[in-house]
Amino acid sequence: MSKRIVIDPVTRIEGHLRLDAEVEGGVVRDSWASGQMWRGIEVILQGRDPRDAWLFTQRICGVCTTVHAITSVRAVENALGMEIPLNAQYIRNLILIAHALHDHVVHFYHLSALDWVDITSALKADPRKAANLAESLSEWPGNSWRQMVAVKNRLQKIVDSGQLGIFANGYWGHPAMKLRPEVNLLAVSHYLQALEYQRKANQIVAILGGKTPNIQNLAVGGVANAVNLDNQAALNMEKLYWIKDLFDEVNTFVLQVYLPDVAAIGAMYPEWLGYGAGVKNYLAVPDLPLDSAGSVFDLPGGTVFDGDLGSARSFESFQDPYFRENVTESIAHSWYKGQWSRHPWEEETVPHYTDYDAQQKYSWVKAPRFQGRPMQVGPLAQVLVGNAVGHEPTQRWTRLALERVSDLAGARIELSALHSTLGRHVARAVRTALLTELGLKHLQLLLDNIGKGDVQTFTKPEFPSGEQRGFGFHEAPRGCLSHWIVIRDGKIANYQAVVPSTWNASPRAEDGLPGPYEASLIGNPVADAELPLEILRTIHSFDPCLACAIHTLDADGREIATVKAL
Amino acid sequence: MSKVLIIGLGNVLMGDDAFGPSVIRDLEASYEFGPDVSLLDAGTPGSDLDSCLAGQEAVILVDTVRSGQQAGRLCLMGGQDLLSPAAHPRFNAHQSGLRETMLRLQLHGRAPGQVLLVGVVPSSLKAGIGLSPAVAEAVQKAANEVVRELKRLGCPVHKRKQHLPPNLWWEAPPTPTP
Repeated sequence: MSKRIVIDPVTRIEGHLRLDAEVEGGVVRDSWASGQMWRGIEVILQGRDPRDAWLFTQRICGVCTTVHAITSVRAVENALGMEIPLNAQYIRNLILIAHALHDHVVHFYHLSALDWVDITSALKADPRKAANLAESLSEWPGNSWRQMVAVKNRLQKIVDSGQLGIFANGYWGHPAMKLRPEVNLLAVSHYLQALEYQRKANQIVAILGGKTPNIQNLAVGGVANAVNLDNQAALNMEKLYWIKDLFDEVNTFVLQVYLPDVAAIGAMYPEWLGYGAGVKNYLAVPDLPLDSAGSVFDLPGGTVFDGDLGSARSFESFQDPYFRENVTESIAHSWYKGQWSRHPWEEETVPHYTDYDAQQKYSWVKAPRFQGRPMQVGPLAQVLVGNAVGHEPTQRWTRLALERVSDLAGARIELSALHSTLGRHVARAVRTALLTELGLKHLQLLLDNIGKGDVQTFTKPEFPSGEQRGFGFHEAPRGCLSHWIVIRDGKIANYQAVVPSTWNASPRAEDGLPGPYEASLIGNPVADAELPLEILRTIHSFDPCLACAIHTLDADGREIATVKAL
Repeated sequence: MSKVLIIGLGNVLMGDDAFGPSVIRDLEASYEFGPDVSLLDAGTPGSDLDSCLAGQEAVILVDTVRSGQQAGRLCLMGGQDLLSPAAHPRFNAHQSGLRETMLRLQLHGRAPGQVLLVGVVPSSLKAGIGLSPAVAEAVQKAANEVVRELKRLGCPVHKRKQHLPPNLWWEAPPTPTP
């Protein structure tokens, strides 16, 4: 006898995702992912000046402001066939790197660690043992016995005051929680320290972007930062050194805390390197351009099909037709008017809500496809594509992370183990470690270029009459993000954003094949259908953020949830 | 006098959800503040709210709140009320972000000492630009509440001699495509 469970909402951050899973014999047999709200941002952009589009798109999602802003200016520049000054590329790259460092640290510690860490168990820990354990894992100076005592006391105080608040929805004592009290205490200590370091990464974004959230320094054609190494009001030496210091601090945290913690979780929950693969077609776009045209990149992108790294094919430039020609979105199972599968430039967005019907239409999320196939996006796609195309730094950090997990687990963990729930976490840590190198590299590139006497940061865009079509992409923390624009006589005629969580939360398309979230749950164990922690582990490993894929404010009185998981 | 952040939350592309940012823009246009007061139109920052609130001595939040009350009605809330999961009225989608952030910062020892929420009951939160008449009318009242709170906190605040037009860039109308 199968049992249907509904989890709603699933995301810990803004957004609204509903999951239906059919569980039989303690295993998920089938599943459906549904975006529960609609957001017609694209419609708001029609008729506006393309130079203003980024201001609006960065308001689509409060968590991913920067990424929508940069992708938007790239799309307009692509439509106009523009190149932008090198300084502008480097400044944008630095913002993207700092944002990604921030986002990945927040995701692991604040949005998903509590799927694996039992807070209440930390109260039973011996702080001395926790400190000793920490010392065996990392040289991080913030793991002292005193620190462990302080964290334990603070936690005890919160529990005693009955203000367990944020942790009140945790799955304490769940049979799937397996860490020792000392490991849990160590994790809580890092959870708190992560707050400091994600803030430092955000500070880099604020220095370069003017403020955060919602950066101010972008423009179609470059950035609005004035560069003058000796001027207080401009981007000067003092600010660039401040950025370097911040990168140094964040990088140390990533390499001495985040990466070792993920490796430890991987080793202590080895079975989760076996569940949760789902769709094994992967899509990542290249990023961190090193030239003004966007044809040389520090991070590779491409596709991998059926988990076969030998099938990899790269995207070579911001203009690559292999990307441009192969993206479509289907509304076969989505609440929009009609029944079509179209290229983003040809899409329309006419909402048409009918009841939830898993056989018919059941989601506000459209179904993006690449060459007609569902694709998984995100750090795992980035890391697999990087390994497949022989990207040395990606291969090096992947090897290092897998060696760490293997050593701790006492068993050889291969690259193939990354097609899994915990594999997505390991891949995210690999990507983050790689970004620690690139932040400092791009800062040096910027300094060197300014040193040559080049202070240009902006090229004025010219809008010809008639129609231009463009696309811009960015490999955002959650994966491949693309904006598609049609400009007519200098105004926006059509605009579509195909966002990472749309790829991953995709419903079925015409062929009935499940999207990545849906497929990843099939075969997933569920020990207790009333407390489906395992389903959350798998879905959270994608870093779901549905705010930009769809949006609503949970309608009063629509209590469809049998299990609420915040 | 203390370090105070006035933060407007909400999505400027979602009807009345633009209330928080609109109040911030109105305050910027109408008043001059001392160096210890900062204003931020934060949009819908989710977990980024941590970075905004950490280490502030006092915070005044402006946002929409869900409630059975009439649209445009202002609602003030402070301290523990904001942390209680049973608190009524219910907040909108930013709620969990705000509550989680406050509790996380408490655990971390960096929570703001004083928090006041100035909320408005929205009429429509559908995708689209512009406040409904009832909510638009509440912008001025909310700004007055913020100023009152600043004075209570001992922060100097002066009305500008010459009002600037508030920078509501999102309200500029699009031109139809030919």
